[in-house]
Amino acid sequence: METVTLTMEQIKQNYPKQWVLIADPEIQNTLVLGGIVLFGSTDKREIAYKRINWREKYKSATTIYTGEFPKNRKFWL
Amino acid sequence: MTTIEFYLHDDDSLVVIDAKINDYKIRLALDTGASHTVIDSTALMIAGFTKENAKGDTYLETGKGGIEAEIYEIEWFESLGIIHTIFKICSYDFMANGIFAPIDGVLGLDFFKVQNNKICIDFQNSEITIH
Repeated sequence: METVTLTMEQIKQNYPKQWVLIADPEIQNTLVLGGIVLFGSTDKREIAYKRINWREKYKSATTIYTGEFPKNRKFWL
Repeated sequence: MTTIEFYLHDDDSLVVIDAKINDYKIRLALDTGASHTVIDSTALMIAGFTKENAKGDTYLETGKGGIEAEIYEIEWFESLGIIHTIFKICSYDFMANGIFAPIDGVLGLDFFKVQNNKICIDFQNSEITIH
Protein backbone atom coordinates (compact mmCIF):
# COMPACT_ATOMS: atom_id res chain seq x y z
CA MET A 1 0.00 0.00 0.00
CA GLU A 2 1.00 3.62 -0.61
CA THR A 3 2.50 5.69 2.17
CA VAL A 4 2.95 9.12 0.53
CA THR A 5 0.74 11.86 1.88
CA LEU A 6 -0.64 14.15 -0.83
CA THR A 7 -2.42 17.46 -0.62
CA MET A 8 -5.92 17.74 -2.03
CA GLU A 9 -4.53 19.73 -4.95
CA GLN A 10 -2.07 16.92 -5.77
CA ILE A 11 -4.81 14.29 -5.44
CA LYS A 12 -7.03 16.22 -7.86
CA GLN A 13 -4.14 16.53 -10.29
CA ASN A 14 -3.15 12.84 -10.15
CA TYR A 15 -6.69 11.41 -10.03
CA PRO A 16 -8.91 13.80 -12.02
CA LYS A 17 -12.66 13.18 -12.02
CA GLN A 18 -12.32 10.06 -9.89
CA TRP A 19 -13.59 8.66 -6.63
CA VAL A 20 -10.53 8.29 -4.44
CA LEU A 21 -10.08 6.23 -1.29
CA ILE A 22 -7.84 8.18 1.09
CA ALA A 23 -6.21 6.77 4.20
CA ASP A 24 -5.59 8.83 7.33
CA PRO A 25 -7.24 11.89 5.78
CA GLU A 26 -6.83 15.34 7.20
CA ILE A 27 -10.31 16.82 7.36
CA GLN A 28 -11.40 20.28 8.41
CA ASN A 29 -15.11 21.02 8.59
CA THR A 30 -16.07 18.39 5.98
CA LEU A 31 -13.27 19.46 3.61
CA VAL A 32 -10.59 16.87 2.92
CA LEU A 33 -7.22 18.65 2.91
CA GLY A 34 -5.08 15.63 2.02
CA GLY A 35 -4.08 12.10 2.86
CA ILE A 36 -2.63 8.88 1.49
CA VAL A 37 -4.26 7.72 -1.74
CA LEU A 38 -5.02 3.99 -1.74
CA PHE A 39 -7.14 3.68 -4.86
CA GLY A 40 -8.91 5.75 -7.48
CA SER A 41 -11.71 4.93 -9.90
CA THR A 42 -14.33 6.65 -12.00
CA ASP A 43 -16.84 4.24 -10.42
CA LYS A 44 -17.28 4.67 -6.67
CA ARG A 45 -18.62 1.13 -6.40
CA GLU A 46 -15.35 -0.28 -7.72
CA ILE A 47 -13.69 0.94 -4.51
CA ALA A 48 -16.27 -1.01 -2.52
CA TYR A 49 -15.92 -4.15 -4.66
CA LYS A 50 -12.12 -4.08 -4.30
CA ARG A 51 -12.60 -4.56 -0.56
CA ILE A 52 -9.30 -2.87 0.27
CA ASN A 53 -8.31 -3.71 3.82
CA TRP A 54 -7.18 -0.20 4.74
CA ARG A 55 -7.49 -0.95 8.46
CA GLU A 56 -4.47 -3.22 8.19
CA LYS A 57 -2.15 -0.20 8.02
CA TYR A 58 -4.19 2.91 8.68
CA LYS A 59 -6.34 4.33 11.45
CA SER A 60 -9.04 5.91 9.29
CA ALA A 61 -10.16 6.44 5.71
CA THR A 62 -12.59 8.40 3.61
CA THR A 63 -13.67 8.63 -0.02
CA ILE A 64 -13.83 11.83 -2.05
CA TYR A 65 -14.72 12.80 -5.59
CA THR A 66 -12.10 14.94 -7.35
CA GLY A 67 -14.37 16.21 -10.11
CA GLU A 68 -17.06 18.84 -9.99
CA PHE A 69 -20.59 18.03 -8.94
CA PRO A 70 -23.28 19.47 -11.20
CA LYS A 71 -24.06 23.09 -10.41
CA ASN A 72 -27.45 24.66 -9.87
CA ARG A 73 -29.05 21.56 -8.33
CA LYS A 74 -31.65 21.75 -5.63
CA PHE A 75 -31.92 18.93 -3.12
CA TRP A 76 -34.98 17.29 -1.72
CA LEU A 77 -33.89 14.15 0.02
CA MET B 1 -22.98 21.61 24.79
CA THR B 2 -21.17 21.29 21.45
CA THR B 3 -21.01 23.89 18.70
CA ILE B 4 -20.07 22.95 15.14
CA GLU B 5 -19.58 25.39 12.28
CA PHE B 6 -21.00 24.71 8.84
CA TYR B 7 -20.54 26.38 5.49
CA LEU B 8 -23.15 27.11 2.85
CA HIS B 9 -21.22 27.64 -0.36
CA ASP B 10 -24.20 28.86 -2.37
CA ASP B 11 -28.00 29.00 -2.33
CA ASP B 12 -28.22 25.29 -3.24
CA SER B 13 -25.96 24.11 -0.41
CA LEU B 14 -27.02 21.53 2.13
CA VAL B 15 -25.94 21.69 5.76
CA VAL B 16 -23.17 19.10 5.52
CA ILE B 17 -21.47 17.69 8.60
CA ASP B 18 -18.74 15.18 9.36
CA ALA B 19 -19.60 11.74 10.69
CA LYS B 20 -17.80 8.49 11.41
CA ILE B 21 -18.90 4.89 10.87
CA ASN B 22 -16.47 3.09 13.12
CA ASP B 23 -13.22 4.59 11.74
CA TYR B 24 -14.48 5.45 8.24
CA LYS B 25 -15.18 9.14 7.77
CA ILE B 26 -18.21 10.31 5.83
CA ARG B 27 -20.14 13.49 5.12
CA LEU B 28 -23.86 13.68 5.81
CA ALA B 29 -26.56 16.25 5.15
CA LEU B 30 -28.37 17.28 8.29
CA ASP B 31 -31.97 16.47 7.40
CA THR B 32 -34.67 17.37 9.90
CA GLY B 33 -37.19 16.14 7.33
CA ALA B 34 -35.85 12.60 7.56
CA SER B 35 -37.16 10.29 10.27
CA HIS B 36 -34.08 8.10 9.97
CA THR B 37 -30.40 8.25 9.18
CA VAL B 38 -29.71 6.87 5.70
CA ILE B 39 -26.29 6.03 4.26
CA ASP B 40 -25.20 5.05 0.77
CA SER B 41 -24.53 1.30 0.64
CA THR B 42 -21.27 1.94 -1.25
CA ALA B 43 -19.95 3.98 1.68
CA LEU B 44 -20.98 1.20 4.06
CA MET B 45 -19.14 -1.40 1.99
CA ILE B 46 -15.97 0.69 1.91
CA ALA B 47 -16.34 0.98 5.69
CA GLY B 48 -16.17 -2.81 5.80
CA PHE B 49 -19.80 -3.92 5.90
CA THR B 50 -21.24 -6.60 3.62
CA LYS B 51 -24.82 -7.42 2.65
CA GLU B 52 -24.61 -10.32 5.10
CA ASN B 53 -24.28 -7.81 7.95
CA ALA B 54 -27.77 -6.42 7.28
CA LYS B 55 -30.15 -6.85 10.21
CA GLY B 56 -33.31 -6.57 8.15
CA ASP B 57 -35.15 -4.72 5.42
CA THR B 58 -37.25 -1.60 5.41
CA TYR B 59 -39.05 0.70 3.01
CA LEU B 60 -38.11 4.35 2.59
CA GLU B 61 -40.43 7.01 1.26
CA THR B 62 -38.27 9.41 -0.75
CA GLY B 63 -38.83 12.33 -3.09
CA LYS B 64 -38.54 9.86 -5.96
CA GLY B 65 -40.95 7.36 -4.47
CA GLY B 66 -40.52 4.25 -2.37
CA ILE B 67 -37.14 2.55 -2.13
CA GLU B 68 -36.32 -0.77 -0.50
CA ALA B 69 -33.47 -0.42 1.96
CA GLU B 70 -31.54 -2.51 4.43
CA ILE B 71 -30.97 -1.92 8.11
CA TYR B 72 -27.49 -2.14 9.62
CA GLU B 73 -26.23 -1.82 13.15
CA ILE B 74 -23.18 0.40 13.45
CA GLU B 75 -20.94 -0.36 16.42
CA TRP B 76 -19.61 3.20 16.62
CA PHE B 77 -21.46 6.07 14.96
CA GLU B 78 -20.21 9.57 15.64
CA SER B 79 -21.30 13.02 14.51
CA LEU B 80 -21.65 16.51 15.94
CA GLY B 81 -19.77 15.41 19.04
CA ILE B 82 -22.32 12.70 19.82
CA ILE B 83 -21.32 9.05 19.89
CA HIS B 84 -23.82 6.24 19.56
CA THR B 85 -22.76 2.66 20.08
CA ILE B 86 -25.00 0.18 18.25
CA PHE B 87 -26.85 2.71 16.13
CA LYS B 88 -29.26 1.47 13.47
CA ILE B 89 -29.10 3.09 10.06
CA CYS B 90 -30.90 2.50 6.77
CA SER B 91 -28.95 1.95 3.58
CA TYR B 92 -29.46 1.67 -0.16
CA ASP B 93 -27.41 2.13 -3.32
CA PHE B 94 -27.44 5.86 -4.09
CA MET B 95 -25.85 5.58 -7.54
CA ALA B 96 -28.28 2.87 -8.66
CA ASN B 97 -31.04 5.32 -7.74
CA GLY B 98 -29.53 8.22 -9.68
CA ILE B 99 -28.09 10.12 -6.73
CA PHE B 100 -24.77 11.81 -7.50
CA ALA B 101 -24.06 14.17 -4.65
CA PRO B 102 -21.18 15.27 -2.42
CA ILE B 103 -22.69 13.49 0.58
CA ASP B 104 -22.74 9.89 1.79
CA GLY B 105 -26.21 10.13 3.26
CA VAL B 106 -28.44 12.06 5.63
CA LEU B 107 -28.44 12.44 9.38
CA GLY B 108 -32.06 12.04 10.42
CA LEU B 109 -34.09 12.78 13.51
CA ASP B 110 -33.46 9.33 15.01
CA PHE B 111 -29.87 10.39 15.69
CA PHE B 112 -31.07 13.08 18.09
CA LYS B 113 -33.86 11.08 19.67
CA VAL B 114 -31.55 8.49 21.26
CA GLN B 115 -30.33 10.94 23.91
CA ASN B 116 -33.20 13.43 23.53
CA ASN B 117 -30.78 16.07 22.28
CA LYS B 118 -31.73 19.66 21.75
CA ILE B 119 -30.43 21.02 18.44
CA CYS B 120 -30.20 24.60 17.24
CA ILE B 121 -29.33 25.36 13.60
CA ASP B 122 -28.18 28.95 13.56
CA PHE B 123 -28.07 30.24 9.97
CA GLN B 124 -27.08 33.71 11.13
CA ASN B 125 -23.79 32.45 12.57
CA SER B 126 -23.52 29.26 10.45
CA GLU B 127 -23.30 26.98 13.44
CA ILE B 128 -25.10 24.04 14.97
CA THR B 129 -25.39 23.78 18.72
CA ILE B 130 -26.20 20.50 20.41
CA HIS B 131 -27.32 20.17 24.02
